[in-house]
Amino acid sequence: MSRYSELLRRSPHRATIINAILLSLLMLMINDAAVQWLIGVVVLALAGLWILRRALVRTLSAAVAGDSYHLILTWVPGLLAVSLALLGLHLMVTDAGATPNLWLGWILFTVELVMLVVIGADLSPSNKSSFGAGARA
Amino acid sequence: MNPIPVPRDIPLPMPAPEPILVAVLVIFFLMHIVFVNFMVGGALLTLYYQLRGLKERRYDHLAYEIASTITANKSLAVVLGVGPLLAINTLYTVYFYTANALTGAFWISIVPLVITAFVLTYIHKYLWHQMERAKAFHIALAGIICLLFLFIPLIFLTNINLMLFPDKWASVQGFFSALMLPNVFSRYAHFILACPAMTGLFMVWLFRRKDEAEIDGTGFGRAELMRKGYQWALWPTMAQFIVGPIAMLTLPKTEVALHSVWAVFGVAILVSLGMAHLMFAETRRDAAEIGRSFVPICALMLVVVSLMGVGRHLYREAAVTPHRELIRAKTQDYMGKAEEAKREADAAAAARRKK
Amino acid sequence: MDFPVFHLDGMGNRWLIALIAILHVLINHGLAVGMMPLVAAMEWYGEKKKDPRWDNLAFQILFVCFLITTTVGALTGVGIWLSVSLVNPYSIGSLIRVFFWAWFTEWLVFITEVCLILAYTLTWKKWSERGGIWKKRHIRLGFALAFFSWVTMAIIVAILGFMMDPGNWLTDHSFWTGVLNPLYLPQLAFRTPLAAAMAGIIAMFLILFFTAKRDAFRNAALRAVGAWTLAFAPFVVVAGWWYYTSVPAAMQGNLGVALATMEFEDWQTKFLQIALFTAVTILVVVQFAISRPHLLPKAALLVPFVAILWMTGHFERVREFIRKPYVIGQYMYANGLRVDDYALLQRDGILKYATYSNPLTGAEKVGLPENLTEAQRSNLLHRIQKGKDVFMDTCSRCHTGQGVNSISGILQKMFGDQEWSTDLTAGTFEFMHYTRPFMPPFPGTKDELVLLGEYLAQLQRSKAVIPGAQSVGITVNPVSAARLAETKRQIKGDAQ
Repeated sequence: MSRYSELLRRSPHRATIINAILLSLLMLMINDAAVQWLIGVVVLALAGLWILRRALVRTLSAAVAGDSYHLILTWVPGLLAVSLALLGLHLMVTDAGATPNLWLGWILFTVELVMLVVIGADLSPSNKSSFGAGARA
Repeated sequence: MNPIPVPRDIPLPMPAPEPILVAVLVIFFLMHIVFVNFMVGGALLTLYYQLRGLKERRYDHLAYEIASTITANKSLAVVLGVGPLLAINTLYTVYFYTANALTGAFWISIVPLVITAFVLTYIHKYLWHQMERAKAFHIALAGIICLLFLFIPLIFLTNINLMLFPDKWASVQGFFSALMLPNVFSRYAHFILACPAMTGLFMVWLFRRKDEAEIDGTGFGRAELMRKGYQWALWPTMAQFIVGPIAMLTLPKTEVALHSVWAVFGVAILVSLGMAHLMFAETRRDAAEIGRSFVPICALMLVVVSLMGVGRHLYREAAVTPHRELIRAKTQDYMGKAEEAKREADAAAAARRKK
Repeated sequence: MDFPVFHLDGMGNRWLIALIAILHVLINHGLAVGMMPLVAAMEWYGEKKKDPRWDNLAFQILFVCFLITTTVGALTGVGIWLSVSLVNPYSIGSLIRVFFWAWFTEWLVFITEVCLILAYTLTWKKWSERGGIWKKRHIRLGFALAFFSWVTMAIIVAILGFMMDPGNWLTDHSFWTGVLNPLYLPQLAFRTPLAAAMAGIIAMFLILFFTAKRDAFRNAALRAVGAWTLAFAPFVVVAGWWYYTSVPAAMQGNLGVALATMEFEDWQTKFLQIALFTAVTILVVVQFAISRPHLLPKAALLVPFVAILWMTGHFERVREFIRKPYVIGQYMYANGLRVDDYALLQRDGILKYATYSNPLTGAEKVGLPENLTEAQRSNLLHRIQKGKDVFMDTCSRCHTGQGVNSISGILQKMFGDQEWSTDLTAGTFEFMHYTRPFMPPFPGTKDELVLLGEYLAQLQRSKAVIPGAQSVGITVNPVSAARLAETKRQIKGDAQ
């Protein structure tokens, strides 16, 4: 038990990852496409705004100004993750019943949701390293 | 006796005047075969020097130098073969494709066989030093490469030989029966001897231009290396004076007279004599003089090779021309009938529609 | 088809071409067209930042590409020629008559490409040591190589585009109609980013091999190549969509497709789905490469690679599908016979003009009905022989006896274990091109349909593997031999 709390203490966002996975599981268990869609969109909107704010802060700071490569690395992961998560969500809600699309969509949505947490943590102002090169997930 | 098949040809016009296509075929084929000579000869010489290298270390270094050249020569050999393949497909469509089909299993096996040979060549060269401890295995590898490079030309030769003799098409059953047709083996011997000969000249060119440090690395002197090259060029060429005429005289008889072919080869023999004389002279020269005749020798070799290409083409034409007339007639006849039948069918369809 | 019939009864003739061609496409897209710009860019970047690690990595990746492209890559290219010449010589022979100079030009560009890759690889170490202007020259070599690699693709796609466009042949068969083909630009636009994305995936895989786990450079390299792949991935989807929407317009002339629209729709939809799946797998891998490179296992890169393989295979399959029943749109059917030949062959019979006969083997004669007199048996064998010749000349390019896409399997599915009588089979084949528009019409007479039926009935009994001319040879058709004598007399008559 203490080993796990040690893991979580070192990187607090890991707790958020666990929460995200639990939320995603919950969404899967809800059998109502409309509710799934609603929860998914709200979660993605929140995560997206959170990342947007951090990306803006980082962009406007001296660290990235003018460096196009690092600009790309600041903005693209978040955009990519949100787009793919939306795609996963779309696949989840379009087909009724336990189709392959549901599973593929859910897996994609979950992976991307976790990615959003990771990306948010990478963009944190306290994270001086270049984009998770040294950080552990 | 089996009747001679006369298939119909593709009824489309040639993409260019025939002389241009022939020029593409002959000239680029000669370029292709010269690099094939360098490739096969390089492999043979590498094996030879590796074996000598077991007794005297510096021969192993020399073997490495020669093996290194195979990398470039093999790629050029392959890429230069595409043009002649295109040209022969166009000029001798019926003949070439028929021979391909009749030896199809081995024809398509050229692909995996050459890939294998090339991959082994890379392993042999790039892991040379790592394989110091396993010399026996390393040399065995060189041996396998040589066997592959010696076998693959047989597939090509069998094909281009079979294609010339429609009277044999109904009697072959697969590659091996086509292999036994005259005069595949004498042509093959002629080709095989050319490999070390051409590679010898290549060696002279190579060691003329390498800088001092590279020459010292081999453990031989520059003149010594050039002399070795000339020896490789000379002695197989001397053997060619026997094998060449045998190949020429065992060429299967054709309906059309072969006077022009004999004439061309005759001139080639005369030029070769001059060239061999110069090669011999070079082997006798000392370090100061050696290489003086290199350019003339190469020029003469170019003439010889060109004459060979022309003679080859003339023989090919002699072999297929009468049959090609039959094909032309048959194709024309068929096309006439096809057009007539089409007109009939269109008219009948139009009549039905009117009703 | 008036050639000895090369035939592979196991994997079938089409797979011979398909295997060689797909292997060739994977190598030339992923290791040449897509990879050379990446390697050149890495070398350039390493020189710009004076960081030898980029240079080393670039060389290592190039070397792997060099080894594979100059062996398997080059020989599968030749292999496509060799295999198509064996399987359908009339089609490739016809195409060469029209496209000779296009292929010749392509060849000249190939020679340049080979020289460049030899130079680029073999001078890397030496010229880099010299540095300065020599290093700059070397980098320029890399970009030149990248350019020429792309040009070879641009040329060949034009030729392929021509082949797919129905009706072209009849109106204007030139190289430029291939370039102006409505499918040319979409196909080229699709293949270019696909090649780049493939190269990115392969490069990431190689980076995992060539760098150590603890090496910070590994992450930097993965991130950069991830970004490269990311840049191209959306274009794969966009261009794939462009291609998808262009195909129906290009298909207008192909009447058969109108009848098989639903099946074709399925193919196209499946292609889009696979393309999307491929793009997603690439993007997810790229995400990891950028955000968490140290979490990227080598195995993960196999997923997008296999996806690309699957998509490429499907893409090529759709391309083939679009062409059916022709091998050259509106001009030549897949069986190697021209549309214009049909009137004659359906009137007089295909056997009348067939030069070759494919002798029955012992195995093929097994299972003949027992209670026959000598004369009856001999007569039956004679008819079965003719039926075999019909089969070999009209069906064998796509169908085997017992192997892939076997005629036995198809008849088994259609008629089960009941006897495959000529009423059943001949009746089906006469009209199959209406119900199955991807099939060419039967090019022979009604009698020949019956002969074919008798052969197939015997095939049901013997269950024999059908050999090809490459192992058992051919005999000359006696009808053809008689016509030869007549032709010879005609020529003599003309000469006099």
